[in-house]
Amino acid sequence: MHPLVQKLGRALGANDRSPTVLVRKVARNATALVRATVVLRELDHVGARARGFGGAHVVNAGVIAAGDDLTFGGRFGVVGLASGAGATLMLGDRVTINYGSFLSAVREVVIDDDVMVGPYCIITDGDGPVATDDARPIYIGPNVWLAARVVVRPGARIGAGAVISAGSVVEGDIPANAVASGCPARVLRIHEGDHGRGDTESGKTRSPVARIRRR
Amino acid sequence: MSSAELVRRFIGSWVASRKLRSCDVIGRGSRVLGTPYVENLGRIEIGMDFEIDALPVASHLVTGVKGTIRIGDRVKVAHGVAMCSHVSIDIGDDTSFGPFAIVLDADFHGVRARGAPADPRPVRIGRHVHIGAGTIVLRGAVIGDDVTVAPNSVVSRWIPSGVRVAGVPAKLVRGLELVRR
Repeated sequence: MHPLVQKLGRALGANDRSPTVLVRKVARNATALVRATVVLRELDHVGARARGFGGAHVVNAGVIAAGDDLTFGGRFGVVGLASGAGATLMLGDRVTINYGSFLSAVREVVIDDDVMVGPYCIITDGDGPVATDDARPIYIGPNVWLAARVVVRPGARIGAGAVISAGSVVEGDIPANAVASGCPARVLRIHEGDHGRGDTESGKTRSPVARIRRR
Repeated sequence: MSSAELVRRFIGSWVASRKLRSCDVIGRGSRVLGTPYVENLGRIEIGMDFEIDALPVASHLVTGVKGTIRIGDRVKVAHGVAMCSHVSIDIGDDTSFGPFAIVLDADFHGVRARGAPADPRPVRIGRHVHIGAGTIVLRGAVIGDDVTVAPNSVVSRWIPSGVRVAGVPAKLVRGLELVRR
């Protein structure tokens, strides 16, 4: 194989020993770029290089905006993005949403840069499809990792770099760099925030989240 | 058994073996509903009378380059089940999985450093185990024989044989008196 092709394959995370895998990865990423533009056409703003590895179901009655390098799965369960009338759903740069997750805003949901949302997560700021009195905004800080099947309840605020383990239900505040688990999620420990992913200096990014914060 | 039933079974088994053809070993008498997603860069071995559903949501079996999934005889897998292996997932005979169960032997990336490679640990599930709907079995989990895991639990540690566990993380709810040996 040509060394340049190998290099491209490695950049895309392929196993360079097998040409079929490499070709498949490249093809999938290319399809994902095209698919995302079609699937996310209802969004008010989508940054550059959005990739979708499966379907997404978008119901946009308010505002939904996403930053650059959004990645979402959907091969095994469609990703849902919903905003009610007058509600805002904001996704920062380099956000990753895995298959089957559902993100819904009836007031305001802000998901900051580099957040990773695992499969079948549910993030809703209200208990129904319309804004009620108990609807409270959700903020998920930069570099947060929500593992599989995490439920984020109305009013939750998750600090930067926090890790929410699989199957947890998050209510209230989770401090920065915490490792939390259980339902409701309790802090197990605080890790030293060393994430090797991107620059999260809010002033430097051009994401909608950063723009909102500056206002 | 009527001859029509025999023919139906034969055809079903042939269809299943076609749909699971990416697996390295597949036993006789398998049955599929819908088309499960199989991505096999490592090794997948499946025993006899394997049943897997992929409707309404596809189940998937995925192995990385060094991953192995070994499934025993008469295992039943409901729809939406995810199994992803970076080292090894061993599943004993007569085990069944409820809908949307997830079995992972790696976290896909470091906990602190998200760019760092994952640290996989093998998962072992014994015989006659029932994994409830929506249960997540995480890396390093070792489940004994005759265990019932209640729906929506999270299992990440060792669970002895013959008990029932539930919760996040899964705790014993019944069966200390049933523990064999």
